[in-house]
Amino acid sequence: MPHPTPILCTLILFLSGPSWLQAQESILMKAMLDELGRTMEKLQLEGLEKPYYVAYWIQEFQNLRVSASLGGVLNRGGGTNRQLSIQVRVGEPAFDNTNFFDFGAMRSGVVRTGGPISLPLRDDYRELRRQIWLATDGTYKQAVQRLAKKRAALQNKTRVEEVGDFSREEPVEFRDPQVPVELPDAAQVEATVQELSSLFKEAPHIFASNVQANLRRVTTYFVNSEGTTFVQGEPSAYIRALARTQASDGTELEDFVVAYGRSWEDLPDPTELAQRIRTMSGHLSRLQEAEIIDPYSGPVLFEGQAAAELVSQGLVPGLLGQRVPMLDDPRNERFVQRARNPFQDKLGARVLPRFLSVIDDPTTNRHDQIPLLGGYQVDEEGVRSRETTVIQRGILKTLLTTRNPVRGVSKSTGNRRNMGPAPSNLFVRARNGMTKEELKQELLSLMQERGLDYGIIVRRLGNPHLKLSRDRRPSFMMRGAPGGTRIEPAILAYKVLPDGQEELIRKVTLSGFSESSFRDIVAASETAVPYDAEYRPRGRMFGSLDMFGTGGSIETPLISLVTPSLLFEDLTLKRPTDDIPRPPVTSPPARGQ
Amino acid sequence: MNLPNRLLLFPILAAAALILATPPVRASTPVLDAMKEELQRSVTLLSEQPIPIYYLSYEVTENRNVILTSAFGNITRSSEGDRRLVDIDLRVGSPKLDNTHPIRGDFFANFPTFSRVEAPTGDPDALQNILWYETDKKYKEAIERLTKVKANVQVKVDEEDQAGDFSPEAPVTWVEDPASVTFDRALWEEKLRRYTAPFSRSDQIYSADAYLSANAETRWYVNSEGSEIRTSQTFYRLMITAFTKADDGMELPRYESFFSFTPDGLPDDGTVLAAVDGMIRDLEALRTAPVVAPYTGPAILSGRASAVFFHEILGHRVEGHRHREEDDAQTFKEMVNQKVLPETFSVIFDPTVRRIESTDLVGAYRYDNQGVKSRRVPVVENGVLKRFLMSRKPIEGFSNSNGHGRKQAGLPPVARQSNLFVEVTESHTREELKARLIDLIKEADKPFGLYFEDVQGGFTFTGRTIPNAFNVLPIMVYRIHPDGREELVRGVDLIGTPLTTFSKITAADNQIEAFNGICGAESGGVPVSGISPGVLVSQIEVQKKEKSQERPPILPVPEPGS
Repeated sequence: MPHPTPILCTLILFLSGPSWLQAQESILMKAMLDELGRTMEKLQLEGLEKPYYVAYWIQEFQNLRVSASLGGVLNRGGGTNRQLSIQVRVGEPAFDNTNFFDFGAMRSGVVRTGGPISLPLRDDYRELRRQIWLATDGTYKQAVQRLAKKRAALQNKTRVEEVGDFSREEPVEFRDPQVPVELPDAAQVEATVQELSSLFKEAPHIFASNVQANLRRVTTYFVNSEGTTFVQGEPSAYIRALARTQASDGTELEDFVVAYGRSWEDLPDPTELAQRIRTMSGHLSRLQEAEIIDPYSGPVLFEGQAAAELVSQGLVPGLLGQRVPMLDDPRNERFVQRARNPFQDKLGARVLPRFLSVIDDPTTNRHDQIPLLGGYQVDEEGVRSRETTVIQRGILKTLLTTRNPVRGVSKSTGNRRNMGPAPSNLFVRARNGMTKEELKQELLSLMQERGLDYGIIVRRLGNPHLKLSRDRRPSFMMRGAPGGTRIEPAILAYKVLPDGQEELIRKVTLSGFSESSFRDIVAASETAVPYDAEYRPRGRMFGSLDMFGTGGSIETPLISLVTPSLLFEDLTLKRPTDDIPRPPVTSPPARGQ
Repeated sequence: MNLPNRLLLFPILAAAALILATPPVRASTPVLDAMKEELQRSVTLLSEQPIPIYYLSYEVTENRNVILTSAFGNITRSSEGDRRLVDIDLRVGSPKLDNTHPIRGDFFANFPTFSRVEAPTGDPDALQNILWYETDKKYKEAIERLTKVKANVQVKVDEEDQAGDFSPEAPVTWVEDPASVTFDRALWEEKLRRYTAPFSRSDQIYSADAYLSANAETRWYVNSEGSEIRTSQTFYRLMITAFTKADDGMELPRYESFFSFTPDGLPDDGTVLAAVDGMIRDLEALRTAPVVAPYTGPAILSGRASAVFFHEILGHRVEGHRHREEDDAQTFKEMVNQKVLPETFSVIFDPTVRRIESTDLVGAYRYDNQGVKSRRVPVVENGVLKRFLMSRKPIEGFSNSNGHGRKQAGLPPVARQSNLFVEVTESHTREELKARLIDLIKEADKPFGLYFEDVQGGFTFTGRTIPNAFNVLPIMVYRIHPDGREELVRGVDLIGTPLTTFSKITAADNQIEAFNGICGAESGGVPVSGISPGVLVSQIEVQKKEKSQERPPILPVPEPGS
């Protein structure tokens, strides 16, 4: 990280020749294409259908990770592997073996089904063919069986919704000219992680902390039976610091510092990261003594990171065309209910105020001068990326989709990532946005209208994946409960007094918040700040709801959100209602002697 | 409630020898010092609490490993990593009744949960801070649990076993030098490629993988009784697995495994490649071997098969703590000083034996996970059950540990097996044993007997709700006909119940063999060994093996140009 600037540096280098991948590509691609040809021509069980579509993904991973606490290394690891993943479709696009939740069929095939399957690291044509052959065989057998089960399940039922299973898209050939980024020297990464983690030694008020770096080089090779082929690199890097403590009354307080990039060099300089860690440490110290407020109902302003997290946790799930599979048994509804998207029924309806629009744009890689990390040329099904206006002037126009259609959206928007729909670079755009001061003034006048003593500004919101404590509740109980969407508690929230003065308050959480709460945004800022995150779908228990049938990337994608500050007219905030654990009964050991 | 105890064990030949460790030198041990300091501080602070602690121990386990895999002549994985986990045993109440006491009627309260607490070993301050925070958490959990325990004891009927919850043990000091993995990665990648390349000769072998792990495990242990221990051990394991499928769908696996404490102890290429050739031949033979129907009759178990057999039927039933669990079948509880095997048989657990002939024994260790020195424990002497394998959880009649409190890092320890030795005072040649088997076949008018040459592992249930059975999973089984002919067969598992089966053990041969494997139970996976001669059992039972319902591949193996 030689760059002293706090801003992430150059994202993607476009070079002229894709020569780096030609040698490798020829053997990998040839093995996939040759076995694909044989499969389409000859693979058939007597009396059963042939596949009408087959796709292969080979992903190459090179990985390096280190984690440390208080200057001492906790764990380290790294290695290289190659994974094959497969999709086989039988039937026809209108009705095939997919979109069927078959809980009983966990295991099938010779040994192997859709993958991922380890492949040789060396380009051994014969062995690649052999592995692809075995995996295709198992996946095909599973596919014909599932199609039969799906047909059987429909014999005595009438489908309420007639939505096809696979959309038609144009074949694409794409070779990423991006040079894969070499992973840095492990010792260098380790030294930085150790050094940053040792900063917490200066912060005895933080009870537990850890710093982790993770660097990955990922290259995806794809072919399908429609003639689409692509090779695309998706390197990623992050460094993060997580901290946890308790307030004087025992309230658990957590915060994080995180930076993402395409490479180690993209990440901020260690001095910049150190500064952010010190700032976080200062916040946590102040939060330990911060005021506890009574339940609050009234206007709330979400600024910067908090607005982006709120959109990510509260709005993004609603923008995804997540197909809910047909169930083999209605009792399995509990496995899929979290994936049901309430916005599915809102196409054409107003879901935001008229001054807000939401655009997903994987084709861009900057906002102003700041790099964005959610971009790509083709999605993992080989559909070319494009700009999609999801919400136009408040009206929900479409959902972000894959080739797996949903009611009302029959084509892919080129958003398949990590086996399902995901955003890329998501822009929330406001017309007639206000300046920071005007927005705060607006908050003050709203609160005076309501006759409140104070209003609230949230500047930092928790992230469900950047926590040291683990949620003890099983994941399928966490969402979809009556009372709305689960949003992480606010880390930094301030009481704003009529004179504009601000006072930090202790951990508060949104109550009764849901997707429809976004309709009641009354104002937004004119400027928007990018915020990077790893995208992990909350609605899906497994990588894909289809369970093993669909193949695709096993890499967690990066997204960038560009969101203005958002002012809500009326929200309810209160202290977390969970029981508060006791603070430590013993004092921490003295450090640094 | 016991988990099925699964054992994956693999063949190696041997006879006995004994090697002792070199005496330790007390070197500088910043990790132990930091642990000791924090332990003393915590003991002082937590003894002042309204509910004081009476015992505290810390164990830090560091693993550094390299893992390589290959398939059909190609490297498929090459990775390395390290990690460190902390285990804290904190006790409130008294050794008679403490927070670890089972809460009867509450399934989840007694179910061990894996705790992944990481701590650094490179920075004493950091380690101390993490120990403090985790000790504090443990203390809160402990006082909460003690309250529940006390109520439970009041509410429920008196327990059959009134032994306390924790045995006092003398403090020990033992500090070994940390071991490290010495390993030429490029050389081993090349070797691994060579080991799986021959499998591509066969079109019907669907997977063929070699797995090599080189692991250095260092454990630091301190407790409030004053024990201070650092042990360190390297483990090198080479495993080759392959499988084929019969036309009826049955998956037929073959395993070879080699284990050593040093890289030089692993076999040379010639030995491994000969084993690979044997695997390929066996797999081809197994594909067309006839399927055996369920059957009872006499059988010979090879030394390898016997070792697993004794591990399952006897070993898991002499793990002491089970005899005070109210839901355990407690097969042997009332059988101490009674005859359980023929008087020519003795069974000894001895973790101090690190090697027999050219084979390192993976079940060897110097101190268990509760700071107790390992020792030889004769469990069955001349056919008579004498004692159990003990952790620091006493049972009536056995108040102290005999160094068998073991666990995987992250789980609480219980009594587990180490190196199991089956010793006999009267042995026969293999031919004599076979002749006796043929006599038994003829006496009982059976069409054939069985010979179990190799097994992949086994499992057993020791609870009360599920029948108290065991299952040994054979790979290479032969029918022995009355005329002496041996014929390879497939499709059966060896099953039975413990007391009936013990009464049928008849004689042993002089072909002693050893197994090394990982045994899984409630305290996680622990390395164990079994060393046994071949055994004649006058009556065993076999049942049909679980079978895959999938056809072999539809298309033939791809050939370049096809």
